[in-house]
Amino acid sequence: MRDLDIGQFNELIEESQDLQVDAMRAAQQPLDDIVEAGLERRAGKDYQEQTREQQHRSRSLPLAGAGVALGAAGLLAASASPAFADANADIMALQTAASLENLAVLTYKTALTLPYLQAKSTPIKTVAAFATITMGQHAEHAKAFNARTKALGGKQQTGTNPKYTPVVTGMIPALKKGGPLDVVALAITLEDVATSTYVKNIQDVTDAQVRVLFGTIAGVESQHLATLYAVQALLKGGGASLITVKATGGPTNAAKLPAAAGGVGFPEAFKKTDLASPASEGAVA
Amino acid sequence: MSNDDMQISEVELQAMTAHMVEMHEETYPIMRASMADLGSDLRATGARVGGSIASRRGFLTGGTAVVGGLLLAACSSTSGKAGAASPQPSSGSSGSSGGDQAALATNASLENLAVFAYGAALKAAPTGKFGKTVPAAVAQFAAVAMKQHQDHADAFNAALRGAGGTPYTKPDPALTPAVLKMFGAVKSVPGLAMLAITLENTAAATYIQQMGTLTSASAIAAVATIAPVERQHAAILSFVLGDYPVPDTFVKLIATPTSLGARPNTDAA
Repeated sequence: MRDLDIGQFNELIEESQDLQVDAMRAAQQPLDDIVEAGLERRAGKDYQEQTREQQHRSRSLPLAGAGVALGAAGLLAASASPAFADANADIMALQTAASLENLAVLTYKTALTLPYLQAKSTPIKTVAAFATITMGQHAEHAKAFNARTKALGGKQQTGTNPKYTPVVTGMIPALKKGGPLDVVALAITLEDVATSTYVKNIQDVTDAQVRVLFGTIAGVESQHLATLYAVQALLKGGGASLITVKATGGPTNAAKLPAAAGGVGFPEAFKKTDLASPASEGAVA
Repeated sequence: MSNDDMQISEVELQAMTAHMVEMHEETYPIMRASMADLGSDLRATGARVGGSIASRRGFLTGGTAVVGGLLLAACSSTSGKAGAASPQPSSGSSGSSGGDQAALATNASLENLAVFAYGAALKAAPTGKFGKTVPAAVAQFAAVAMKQHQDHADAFNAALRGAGGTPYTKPDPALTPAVLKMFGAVKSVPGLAMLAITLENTAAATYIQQMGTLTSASAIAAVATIAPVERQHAAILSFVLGDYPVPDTFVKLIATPTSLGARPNTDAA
């Protein structure tokens, strides 16, 4: 990143941050609605009965396996505890989402320390700039998910995703010996998991405004994914010199882009959710 | 286009494209099958509307939003109705299956408009309307995006048909006059790309806003799986223009220089 045009890059970041502030401001009302709707919903009799039943099931199954019986009084006490809210499936989904965002931040942060991402060439500068900006965006996503989790009465998830963290850390030695394509491949996997998870969550969560929150973020992760697909294709195909934007090395030469580059960024007409993480994956009590 | 320095990449990228087509062919039937179930889903939700979904306070700033973008200016100047092209909170009966149907019709109309725009661009490109040559990647983008938009339109219309409604086969009537005017004025590839980005972002904003108002599970599934793809189209268009492909940290639902903001369900009414 040393030879990056700092002035232009800062302008880009400032522009991105301005957009981000605008977006957060615009999102404030729906986020407020999330809180209110969630509070209203949890105050409802039907919700309380339903959640109490869910709580009973989730607690009694493992305990039954151990041969332990939990009395009705204990169940009622558990339902009234602070952990009660954390059992909410929407909160669990938000916590798991935050865990994926935290892992993405860690991954990009680690990637930016790799020797081959310090190179002076425009393509590498562009990839490094992408990693830097994307890392910041993921950090904001984590904040947004955690803010909603907290407002809904849940515990904030500050850790990284328990399923994928060992995968990422296990790959670090190979990444150090590898090259940009290895980093891009890993990033594609994480962005696809995040996009798939949020698209699935939109269909699963019960709170309408939480769905909108997932929608506004899934639409950004999907763009990270599209960009990475294009970068991967150009790196693999010998078109690395075309990996550039105005802020890093000037606009790409569209006339030199191979035809197939026009469609490689969006391989699915409908976003599949096969890679979606279950809501419980990164939940915290 | 010269392939002098891209001989290897073209071969490899063609292979990737083939894989992409396979993935598309794989996902499309699944989505269509899912949409076929929408009819019963909509009818079921129609009976339990009202208080079952969280409050629907508008989260757009409506009339206070600062409206930007070339297309929006065109919309404002051509619309006969005050504010017809301005972003507004969804005004359909969003808590009902009727609201879902209105939204799905609007979505089909937006997809039809995109199909029309890309189709017209591909037809006009050889005439030199956008310059001496149109980059091969841009032409390929338009062809693939147009096909996906047609699939999206078919999916939304399959949902409408399944719910007992009538498929909406025309482009969005509120936007079409302005898009036609803008398309006529476009004389370059960057100008065409900006128009396309506006359509893509507008569609995505519309679908994401609807995630907070739709009641049918199948309708929610449709917008959930389609909105991210429209945003991907926008990202690649930005890259081709030389701009940063992911400028927003959160998708904006209000109007921006590259989006009209979420469209109301009444667009196709």
